[in-house]
Amino acid sequence: MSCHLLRLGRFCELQGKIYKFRLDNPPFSVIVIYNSITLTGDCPIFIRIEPSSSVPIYRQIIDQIKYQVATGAIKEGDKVPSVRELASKLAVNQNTILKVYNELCRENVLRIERGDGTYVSSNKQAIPVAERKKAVAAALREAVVQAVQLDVSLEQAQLLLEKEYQAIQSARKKTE
Amino acid sequence: MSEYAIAIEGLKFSYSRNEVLKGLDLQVPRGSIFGFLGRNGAGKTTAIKLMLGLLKPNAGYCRIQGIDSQKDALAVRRIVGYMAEDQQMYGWMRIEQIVKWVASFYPGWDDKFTNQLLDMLELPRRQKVKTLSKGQNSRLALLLALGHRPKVVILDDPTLGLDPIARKDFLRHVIDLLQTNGVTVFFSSHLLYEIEPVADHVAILDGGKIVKQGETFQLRESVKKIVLLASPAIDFSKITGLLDVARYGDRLALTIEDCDASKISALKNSSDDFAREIRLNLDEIFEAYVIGNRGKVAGV
Repeated sequence: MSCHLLRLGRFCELQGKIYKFRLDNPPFSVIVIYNSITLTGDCPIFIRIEPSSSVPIYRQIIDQIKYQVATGAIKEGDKVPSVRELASKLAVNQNTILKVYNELCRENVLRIERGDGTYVSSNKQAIPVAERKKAVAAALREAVVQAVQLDVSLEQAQLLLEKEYQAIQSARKKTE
Repeated sequence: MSEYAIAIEGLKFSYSRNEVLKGLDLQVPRGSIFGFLGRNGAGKTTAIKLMLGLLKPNAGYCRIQGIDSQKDALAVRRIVGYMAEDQQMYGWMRIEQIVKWVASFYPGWDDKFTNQLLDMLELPRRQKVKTLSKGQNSRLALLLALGHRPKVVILDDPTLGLDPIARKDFLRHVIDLLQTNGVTVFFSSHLLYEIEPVADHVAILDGGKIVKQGETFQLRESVKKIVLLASPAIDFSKITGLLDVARYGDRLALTIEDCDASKISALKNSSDDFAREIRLNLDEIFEAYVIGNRGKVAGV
């Protein structure tokens, strides 16, 4: 039954006309509309794929989901789209998304509830400090290469880093 | 039945004296979306015509779901959905007429399914084919290829000439309609950035042969570029899987397939510790296989 509804939901997303047509059958239509909303409007993850990147696509998706969990953009208990939904949304092979979800489950970022769906399993602590540091180090490396090439000394670069760090922290405090 | 939806072995074909395929081997796993890559004129369309039994090979065989394309071309076409490159359709027909006309060739045509598809692909039934846009045209061609519920779908450069949005939409339909139902999809293209998200397997056709085939992500992870100081200690003949060598000043850039940790450390030992490992995108990998320089570089 749920699979059947999912299919209708998908039609709603694709086809405004079918959506209207279903409205004529009251008990069914309510569920269908609800389904289409959860499918299209409620997708909590924002993923952007860069096709010409040297990072493989499944890696790009894993990194973006982890990043959004780590920053709290998606929270513990949030439901993520099904493999089919996300594959369709991104126009990416379903096996790729399956691999992404399996990997994220293995790392305890997501968990699959049989017959129900896939959820964010825990908060940012799921991603160990070491890995978070690694992500920052990778981003800093590019800045350091620039600093070396442009003859900016370590002391100058450290000052710049501190300045940027403080600027962003105070900006964050203001919004809170 | 074989485990492969499409199995090709030693396929050879020439147009008069020009040998286009020089012994093609290809295995397409069931249920996969298989990207068939090659430059313009590499022989992709020829290979596809041979698969469908539209051309006769000089040697070799092709089996689709276990059926030989040469011995029983009709049976093959019954289980295969085929969309030709830049498919021509009768312009004076209305969409509903052309659907009916094509349906008459197939005993197993699914009317209910085609009706659903007409809605889903937003094809107005009463519109004349000649007035369709390029995107509608390719969606109609897809519909006509799918109406008899084929187990294998062969698409020859299906997104040729489509704008980026129509292209993505088309590929989304392939995933939604076909992969979901376990249909094997074989499609040719020379647009690599388009193949990568969609295809779980790829093959590269060059010089009449398949130079590489495998799972897309493995190909992506296994080919790497190593940049290191040029040194006479590097023995090129000892590097297995060397695809390309280029020299930039005092540095060498080597593109290597199946590049694992042991290969990298061997190279570091014969050169310096500053060897850098660079990941490549699919375009660069394709380039290395197709036009890679495997010979010697001056001054080494």
